[in-house]
Amino acid sequence: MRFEWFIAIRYLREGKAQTALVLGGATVGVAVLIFLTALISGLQRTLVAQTLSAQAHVFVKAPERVARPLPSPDRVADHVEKVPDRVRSIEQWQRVMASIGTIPGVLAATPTAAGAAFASRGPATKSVTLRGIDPESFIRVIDVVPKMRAGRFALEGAEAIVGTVLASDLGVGVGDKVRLSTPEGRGDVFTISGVFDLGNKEVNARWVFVPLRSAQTMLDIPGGATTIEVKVAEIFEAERLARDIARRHGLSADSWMELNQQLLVGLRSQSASSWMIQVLVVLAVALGIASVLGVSVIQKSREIGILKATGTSTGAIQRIFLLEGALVGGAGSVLGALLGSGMAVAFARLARAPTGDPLFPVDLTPGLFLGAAAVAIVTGTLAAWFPATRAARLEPAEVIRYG
Amino acid sequence: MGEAGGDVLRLEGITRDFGEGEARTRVLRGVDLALRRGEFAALMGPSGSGKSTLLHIMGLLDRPTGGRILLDGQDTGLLDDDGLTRCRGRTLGFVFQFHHLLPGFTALENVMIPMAADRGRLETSMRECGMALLERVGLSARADNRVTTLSGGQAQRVAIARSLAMNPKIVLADEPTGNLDTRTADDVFSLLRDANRAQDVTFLVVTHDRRLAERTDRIIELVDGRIVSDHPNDPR
Repeated sequence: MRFEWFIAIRYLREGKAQTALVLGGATVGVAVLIFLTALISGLQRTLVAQTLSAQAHVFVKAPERVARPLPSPDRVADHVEKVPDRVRSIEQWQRVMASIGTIPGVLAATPTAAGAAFASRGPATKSVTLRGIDPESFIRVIDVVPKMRAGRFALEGAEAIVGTVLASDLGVGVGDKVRLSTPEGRGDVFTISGVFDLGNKEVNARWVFVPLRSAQTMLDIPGGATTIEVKVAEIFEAERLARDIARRHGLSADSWMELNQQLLVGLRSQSASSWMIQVLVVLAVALGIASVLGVSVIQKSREIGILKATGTSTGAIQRIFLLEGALVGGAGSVLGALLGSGMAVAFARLARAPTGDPLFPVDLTPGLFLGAAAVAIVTGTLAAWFPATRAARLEPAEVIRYG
Repeated sequence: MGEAGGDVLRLEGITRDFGEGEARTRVLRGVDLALRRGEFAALMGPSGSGKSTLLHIMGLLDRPTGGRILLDGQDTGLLDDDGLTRCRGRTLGFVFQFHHLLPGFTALENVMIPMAADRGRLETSMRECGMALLERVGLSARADNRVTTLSGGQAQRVAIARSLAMNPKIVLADEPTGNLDTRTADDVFSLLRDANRAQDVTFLVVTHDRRLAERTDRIIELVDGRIVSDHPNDPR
C-alpha cells in the first residue's frame, strides 16, 4: 500500500467524529446534487415531451406578404395598409418538402392544409381549425396513433378525426356525421373515424383532421399546402434548422422553441436556479471539509512534526491530507448517490397527479452519478488544499517543542 | 567516511537566533563539535542553555542562523527541504522525551513508519524488520497493540526501536528517560547503550541526570549557548 494512503486511511478511521461530520456533509451534498438534477431533468423532459406531443418541431409557411407603396415623386405614403392574409399555399410545396427531407437532422416532414372552419351538428356549431393532412406521413411527425381514444387514425374519403373535447361538445362519436364548412361557405359532411386526446384542451377542442384533398377544396387552394410540418432529431436544434430552411427557400419557418418561448424561459430559469442551489451546496460542503480538516491539522500538528522528523517529505504530508479530502469526497459520492437516488425514487412515487398517475419520471442516468462523483472528489481535494498546505509547512522543530 | 576521518557529524561555528528585531535572542553562540563514529556521548546543561535547540539543529529539524553542519562529510546547508528530510530519514534517528509515537497506530506500525516514508510504500519486509527491532527492545509481544495502551517505559522502548529502523548513523535522544522512574530509566538507558555497542551507532543523549551521564563515553556541557566543557568519560 502507498505510504500516503496508509496514513490517510488510518487518520480518517481514527478521527471517527470528524470523519462522520465531513462524510455526512459530502453525502448530503451529493444527494442534493443527484436529487435536484434527476428531478429537474425529468421534469423538463416531461414538460418538453408534453408540449411536443401535439406539435411539430418546425413549421414552414409561405412568406408573409408585405405591402410596398409604389414610389411616386409628388406623394409620400404616411400609412401602409397591411395586406389581409388569406389562406395561401406554399409554392411548389412538393419540391420544398423533398428538399427539407434531405437536410441533416430532419427526421420527417408532412404537408398540411390548415384554415378556419365551423363544425356543426344539428343546432350545435363550433369554431374549429381544419387540418387537411396526409395521415401516413403525418404520424411520422406527430405520433397520434397511441393517443387515439376511439376509432382509428385513418382518413378515407369524407372522414374526419376530432378531439375528445369537440366530440363531447358536439355530442358525437365514431361513425357519427358532422358538417364542416369554411367562412366562405364551402363545406361538406364528414363521418367521424376516430377521436384523439393530445393532452391539450385547446387542441382537443379545435383540431379536426380531414384528408388533405378535402381541405384543399374547402380552403380553395387546389393541390396546395399551407404548412410543411417538420420533425427533427435534436429538439433544441429546431431553431437553427428553422432559420436554415427559411434562408434556403425564402419561406417563413418557425420552430417550436419560438412558439413556446415562455416555456423555454421557464425551463431556463428553473435550470439556473437549480444550478445556483447546487453551486451553493457544493460550496457549503467544501467549506465544511476545509474547516474540519483544518481543525484536524491543528490537532495533529505534533504528529505531523513527528512524521517529518522520521523522514516523511513535505510533499507526502500534503498528499496525505489531500487524499483525506478526496477519500471523503469519494465515499460521500457513493453514499450520496444511494441517498439521492432513494430520495428521487421516493419523490417520484409519492408525488402524483390528482388522477393518481405519476407526475413525471426522474432521470437517474449513469452520467449523473459519474458527474456527481467527479464533483465530490474534486471538491474534497480542493477543499483539503489549504489545510494540506498548512500541514506541509509546519516546522518539525517548532511543533515537537511547542506543539 | 567523513572528511575529518572518523567524524560522523561535525558542527562548525553554529549560531541560532530566535525572534526579530529588539526581541532577537541568540540561543547558540558559536558551537563547534564533532561526534565520532560509534561514540556514546551525553549533552548536559541547565534549562535554557540551548540543548534542545542544538539537538534539533544536529537532527536537521531546524536550520542554524550561522555555521555549517557536516553530516557524514556532506554539507547539509546545500540541501533543500526534501533533501534534508531524506538525509534525516536515512542517517538520523530520534528519541524524544515524550516518546512522540503516533497514537493512532500500533507499536509495529510506528516502527515501520520511517521505512515506509522512505520507500513511499508499505512492504512486507518492513514488517519482519520491525518485528526484529521490537524483539530487541523486548516488546514483540505487544507489536500489534495500540501505542496508547503501552506504559511510559514500553512506549519509550518502541520509540528506540523506531529510531533504529533505518539503520541510522546517529541517534539523537532528547531526555529519553526524563519521564520515567529510576528503574525504567536504567533499563531504557541500557537499551540505548546496547544498540550503540551492537550496531556501531553514534548516540548523543541530552540528559539532566548526572548519574546516567556518568555511564557514557563523553560528557559535553552546554551553558548559555556555548560548550563550556567537553571531556571523555570512563563509564562505570
